[in-house]
Amino acid sequence: MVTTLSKIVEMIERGAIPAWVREQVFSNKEEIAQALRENGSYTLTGPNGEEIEIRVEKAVAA
Amino acid sequence: MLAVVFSLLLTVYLIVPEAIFRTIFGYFIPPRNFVLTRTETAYRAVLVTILPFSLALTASWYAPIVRNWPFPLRENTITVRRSDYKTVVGAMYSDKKFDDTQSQFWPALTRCIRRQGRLALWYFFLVGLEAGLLGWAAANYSRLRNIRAYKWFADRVLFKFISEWHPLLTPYLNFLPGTVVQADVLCTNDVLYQGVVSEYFLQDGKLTGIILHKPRRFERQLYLEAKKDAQKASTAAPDRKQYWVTIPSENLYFFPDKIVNMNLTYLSPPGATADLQVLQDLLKEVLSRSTLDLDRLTVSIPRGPRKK
Repeated sequence: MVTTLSKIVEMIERGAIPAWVREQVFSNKEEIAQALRENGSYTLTGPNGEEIEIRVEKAVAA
Repeated sequence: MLAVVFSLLLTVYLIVPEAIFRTIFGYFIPPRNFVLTRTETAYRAVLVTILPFSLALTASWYAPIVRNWPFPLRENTITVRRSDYKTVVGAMYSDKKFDDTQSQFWPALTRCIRRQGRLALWYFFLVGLEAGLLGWAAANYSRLRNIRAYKWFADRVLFKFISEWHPLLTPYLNFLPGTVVQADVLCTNDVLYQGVVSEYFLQDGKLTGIILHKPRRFERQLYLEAKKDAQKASTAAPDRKQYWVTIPSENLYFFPDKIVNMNLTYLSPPGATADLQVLQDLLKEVLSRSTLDLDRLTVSIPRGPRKK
């Protein structure tokens, strides 16, 4: 066997993300990182009005 | 004689347990999808039996119940055990030895058989238990994959027992409940078919057939002609969707030698946007160079797609 099943699984998992999400994540990664740093959240908006919200909770100071 | 005994032991301790493992594992991952090629069989058999065999052997020597049940023996000390095996092997090796020890041979053989029977039964039980646990773990990959230790174990051990066709042709990874696998199959006669994968067949790990549910055919020739006409008339290109023709059949069987290639799409159920765990993993990978605390990254879907 040339490849392993875990690689196939990984490949399928990567393909499980809608194309518009993948495109937005890769083309706006700097913007997403900045928004998460400043506001703690970023929203991806899809072609059919769907929204995916990314959040990074800030660490609570001890 | 020793060769016959060796073959018998090989069958009892390697071939039968491997068959038990396959059968029980197959309850969790369907047997047709659970494939061991002939060249891998011996290696896999050793891999699946080494742990249960070691446990069964140790338990049959030292564990309180296991060392005497089933097939109990009046005398089962280490000395008697060694002496019995020495007598039996010696007599099987040489006829002279057999003649000399005939009075001791038969009782010793009976005791050896009882010991071996007890060991084999516990061994088979442990192989079955192992197969059940591994089968359950393999079948629940989509639920358990976020556990790091499980993922490591699945990559190195579990996946060795599953055919690569299984995750490709079934929603095994189950991104979202209700996901189906849609296949676009291009055949050697240059016709493209599409449908939902309902069944597939394997032999020695190779695909021997595939059935598509609710199949349809793409009228490529008509589409190309319409496209050419549209180009000549400088009008909009024809809509591809119009050229899919439903085949009046619930299921369509394909022979693999007629398939040129297959495009597989994992269709999420209507209204679903993405598997959040997969998306979260992608984001962590893409943002790995940022200074963000990615352990605190979460993803949610506040709004699904608009209904058309």
